[in-house]
Amino acid sequence: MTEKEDLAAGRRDRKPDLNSVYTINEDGSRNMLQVADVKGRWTTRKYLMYALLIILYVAAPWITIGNHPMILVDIPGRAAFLMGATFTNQDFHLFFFVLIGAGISLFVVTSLFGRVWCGFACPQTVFMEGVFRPIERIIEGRRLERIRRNQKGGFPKIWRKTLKHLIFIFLSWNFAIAFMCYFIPTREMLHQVPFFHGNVTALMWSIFWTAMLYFDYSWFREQTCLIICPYGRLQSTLVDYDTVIIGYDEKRGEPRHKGVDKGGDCIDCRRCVDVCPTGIDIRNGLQMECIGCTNCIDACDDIMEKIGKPRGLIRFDSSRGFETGQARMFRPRFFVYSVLILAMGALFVSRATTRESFQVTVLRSQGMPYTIEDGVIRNLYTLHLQNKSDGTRVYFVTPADDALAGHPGVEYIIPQERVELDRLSDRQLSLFAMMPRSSYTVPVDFNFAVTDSISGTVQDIKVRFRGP
Amino acid sequence: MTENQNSQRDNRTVYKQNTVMDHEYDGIQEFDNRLPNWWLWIMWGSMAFALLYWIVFHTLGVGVLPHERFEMTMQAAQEAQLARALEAGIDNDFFVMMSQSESSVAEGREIFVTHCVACHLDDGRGSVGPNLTDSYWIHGCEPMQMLKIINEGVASKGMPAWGNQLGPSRVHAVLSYLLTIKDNNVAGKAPEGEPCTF
Repeated sequence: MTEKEDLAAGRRDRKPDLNSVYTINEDGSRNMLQVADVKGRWTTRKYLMYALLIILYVAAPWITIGNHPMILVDIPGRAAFLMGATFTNQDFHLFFFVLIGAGISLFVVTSLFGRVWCGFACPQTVFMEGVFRPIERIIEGRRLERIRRNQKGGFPKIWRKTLKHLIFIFLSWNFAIAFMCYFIPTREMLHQVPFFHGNVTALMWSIFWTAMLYFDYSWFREQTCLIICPYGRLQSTLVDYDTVIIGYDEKRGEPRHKGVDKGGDCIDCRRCVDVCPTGIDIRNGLQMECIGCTNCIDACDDIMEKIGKPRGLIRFDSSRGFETGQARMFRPRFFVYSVLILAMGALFVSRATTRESFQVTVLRSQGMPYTIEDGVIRNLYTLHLQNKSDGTRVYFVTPADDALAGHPGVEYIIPQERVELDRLSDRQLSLFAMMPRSSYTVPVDFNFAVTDSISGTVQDIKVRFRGP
Repeated sequence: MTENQNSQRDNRTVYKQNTVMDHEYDGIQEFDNRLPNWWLWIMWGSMAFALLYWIVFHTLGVGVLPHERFEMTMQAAQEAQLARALEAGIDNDFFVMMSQSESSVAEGREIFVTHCVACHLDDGRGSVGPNLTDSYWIHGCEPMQMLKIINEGVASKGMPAWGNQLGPSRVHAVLSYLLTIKDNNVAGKAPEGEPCTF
């Protein structure tokens, strides 16, 4: 769509520049983009990717691995299930590795290929470009048609907008429920929708997420990527001269000129601008707003083919590639990041696989460090035993070592040596250690041992015997 | 940027070219573009909300603050518990009746062997704590008196307060079990306290 057509359609005479956000007008109001249709190699790949990811995002809580959903964060139950593994609140420190790992993965990917995450996998883009924008396109028509109808107003506009927004609200509600399935088991969810049996909290969350998604996909759109999301702001520190980004081949394109066979290859048709979902002109170079969606690549390739020029005036390439035609993929930062991510991955896996299937803590009973009766010092402890495994387990509680053996007359009272616990349940036990006053000199440390009868794992818990 | 490149880029309309702010650090200049209106609305909205919140919750005191709501909920729960207890007629007879229910005695026994045996031993014959099977009682032998001891403990003698840890229904259960072993006279710790019958 040429500039002239734009003007004819009443568009403001403003072009994307490097000094301002194109989607915000000079008075601070919103400049709603009407993104043009695009077809091509990358678009096809992208839609395939979107379809797979939408299925994955929506289906993940429904897939069962080893009696549990593939992913479920059970907040009231203080447990999380991920790919068949069970994590309880004591394992929360592992979340550190997940976050750091995700962060460094993003660094690696960004330093190599720029913001492919934004364009291909981020839920914001996946649902925006894969669901909501295509529906808008079906109902409201092509870009110019939309612009003209929006200006003209009247019934043709009203019924289309109403229909679109009703569908958007319905879809937002569905996706909100799909998202809540990450937190509420799906079989419960099925019986609870839509009113959650008067569970006001769940109902309010479903309304909240529906409203958020509807607002985001119907109006807010690229503002999320440009102003809310911090990732784009990190771009300038993560990419370098060798990062593969979407760029415009200035050497080949300039001087841009209307008409073929004059000046460079760019005929300044502004297709790349019209198809951009964040409203930038890629010919100004890499910008914070670029979400790497590849729309401009396909748009430009299409034009180049039509005017009989080779494709790739706008393409994936590094700054070095655009300037010298060379490519360098492996550079120091790639190896540093890779080592970091491998280290984090190894730490996570080792911590996650070697973590104990049960947790023991021993606390001295509150309010009395020791009691003395008939010349015998007694220490009362409270042992807290938690079964973190996914089945019923039997544990044995015993004194572990002979640390107190040097003190004649030591006795223990362990009322319940055999403890049977259901999955993810816990119990508190009271334990006594006793020593004649004549044997006692200074505080002594000793251990209680808790043995898992199935795995044979033993955990020693150090406690201190105190006396006068 | 060369003169030539500049002229190439001239066809772009520069947005608010005149609002570059008058400071410059290391060649970096700043534009003074207007913030998005939606952003400003959120800011003004947050301010208005804060003011309203302040007035409603802290000046007028009309609203209920989270910790007050928590306390109210806790109090309501306690009152409801008390009401249920009154309605259920919790008194000495209530526990006598409860001690005739096999299920509550079994539950009480389970709790007893978990928490109480450390001091009172498995049949209640006493070691650190007194013998619970004889007819001598330090703090009284009526169920309601025993309830108080279980709930509040006797700090001076090392008896912990179990009320908060076990909760009322489990305390009731364990008390019902105690009534079944009371006066069994298992040979154990020497009698303490006064002879007492109920």
